[in-house]
Amino acid sequence: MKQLSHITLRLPFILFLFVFAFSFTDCADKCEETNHFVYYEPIYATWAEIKASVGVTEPKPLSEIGRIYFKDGILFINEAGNGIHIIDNKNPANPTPLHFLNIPGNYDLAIRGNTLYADSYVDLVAFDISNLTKIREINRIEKLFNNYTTMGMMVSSERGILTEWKKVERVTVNETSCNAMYQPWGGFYHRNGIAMSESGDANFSAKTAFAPSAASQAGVGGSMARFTINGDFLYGLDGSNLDVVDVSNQAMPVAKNEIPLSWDVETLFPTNNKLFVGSRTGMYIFDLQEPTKPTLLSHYAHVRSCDPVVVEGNYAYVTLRSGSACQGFTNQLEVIDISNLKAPTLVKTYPMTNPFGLGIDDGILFICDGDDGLKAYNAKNVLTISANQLAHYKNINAFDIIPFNKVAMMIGKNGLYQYDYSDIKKIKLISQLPIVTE
Amino acid sequence: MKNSCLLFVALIAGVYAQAQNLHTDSTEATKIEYYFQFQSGALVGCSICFTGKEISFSGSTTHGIKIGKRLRVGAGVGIDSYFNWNTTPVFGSVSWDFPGKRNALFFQFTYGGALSAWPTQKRFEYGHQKTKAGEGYGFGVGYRMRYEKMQISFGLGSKSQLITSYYQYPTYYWKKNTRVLGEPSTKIIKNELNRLAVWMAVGWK
Repeated sequence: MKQLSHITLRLPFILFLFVFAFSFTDCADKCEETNHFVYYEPIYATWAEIKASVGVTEPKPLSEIGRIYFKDGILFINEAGNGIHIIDNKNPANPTPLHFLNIPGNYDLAIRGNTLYADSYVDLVAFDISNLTKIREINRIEKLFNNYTTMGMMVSSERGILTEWKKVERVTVNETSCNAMYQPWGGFYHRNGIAMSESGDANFSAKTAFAPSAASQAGVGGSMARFTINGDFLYGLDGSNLDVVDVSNQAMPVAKNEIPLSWDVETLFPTNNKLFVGSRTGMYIFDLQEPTKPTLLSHYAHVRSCDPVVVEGNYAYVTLRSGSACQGFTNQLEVIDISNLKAPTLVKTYPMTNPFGLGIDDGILFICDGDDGLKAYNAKNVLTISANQLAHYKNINAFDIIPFNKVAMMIGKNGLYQYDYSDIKKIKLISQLPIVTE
Repeated sequence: MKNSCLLFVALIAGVYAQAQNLHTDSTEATKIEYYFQFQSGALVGCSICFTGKEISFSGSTTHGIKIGKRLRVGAGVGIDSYFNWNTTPVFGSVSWDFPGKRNALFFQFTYGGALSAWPTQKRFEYGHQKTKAGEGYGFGVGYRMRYEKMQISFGLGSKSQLITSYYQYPTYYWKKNTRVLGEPSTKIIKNELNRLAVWMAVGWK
């Protein structure tokens, strides 16, 4: 009885403590979310700013791998996104840088006569190069390319063109409802539209090729390019489209047609009024009898991979490459019989390491096999190419090559390498221009 | 944490004041004895509150010393289940029995952290890097009944456990014509799991 009275006496105090204690808490989760956003803001340049920065500057060291083009002893090496190195290569043993042609947003070029055509973001710009000391812009087709995705975003008609990405950081701390937590894909990955999709990448790797064509007064390009000149017309890959530009009047290029091809087209190679288009899923052959309206003759399908193509005689040589952008798992050389252009057939495949560009001159086949270096083969018998390797230059990275007039001009991550193959049994390195990284 | 400290101070002050006021057993000699107990009960609360309350399991064992007839100091380990998470708490425990012949009301306070936390069900969370369990505390009142050296108690209180999850998300930008992986964005979610705790314990001494 005494104990009961003790409890009764204590109850108000206990209840007070109990209520006091519970006033500090409730029975629901509390969540605090700290976000450290890192995103990249697009920086735009106006059209006026871009145009004003086009022009010739002093020569500068090669700093980034790009496409190459050769004409009349002058080597043009594109510096991706910035412009073109102009190098006097009349003596391949001693290439001499002459100028740097500053062209913002430039990735490709082609030359007809004394006119150099280059892309500058979405514009096609024509330069008079008759006097290399006074290169000047003579014309421009504005907004010719409508699939410009090089910087990962389209052009803004209001702001100009995207030229840079600026890193921005922001930290937010806020209490949130725990209800929204733990949801798949619940991050801010897609906020602000900054994160890129793989499909953006797809348009990016569009690459094309040039080929020699004396009749068109054009120069010689590598197999990785996406511009080429055939006759009086310049063909350029524009995303999934093929743009046709009339350059019969060199100083007055006129856009003629835009032909939808395929989302995965990469390279162009013209020969004998035919246009070979390399794509990630195969090779297209077009007839150019009517230059502004190429006619599809056939499509040769292969496994998905990156695919530059060159042609000599009755054979097309295609390298297939795997990689994150290229997808696929195949690294090989395919030799395709094109004697019947409407029914190309595979003759033989040869395993490679990770081949990029290739070139062929009078049966001597050069393959840029990525980090496995440069390989040269006697390809006169297409069934025994691997057995007839002439040279293998290891310990260099090989991206693209122009074999022309017994000099092979090869560009890779390490720079420009030139090889004399006048004696195919003794192919030898004759010069090197290194790429200087900052 | 600030709340739990205030609460702890309040409890200790309350216990002290009550002990002074009731002035019973003030003359008995201080005796130190080993005690242990196994505790099992339910955690009541909500993570996703619009679906209603959730009831989950809580269990632990505590071992320590009993100082005199009122104060118990011990350490324990257990397993707690919440809506999204399971944890293995490790804690120190202090309790004070109010005077009584054999049965008594008591206050209890625990403080510690969890050794680990893992999700109650496998799920995919984009960008999830790791989850770490943090500090936890609990307090409550109960009624302890003794028979010989055995004891059985029932209690009601509050329990709180911190769990922190870390996420990382890739950010890309373009450098020239190459897509480049930039510095990742991160997200940290501190989840304080608050529950009403109802338990029953059996033990020795």
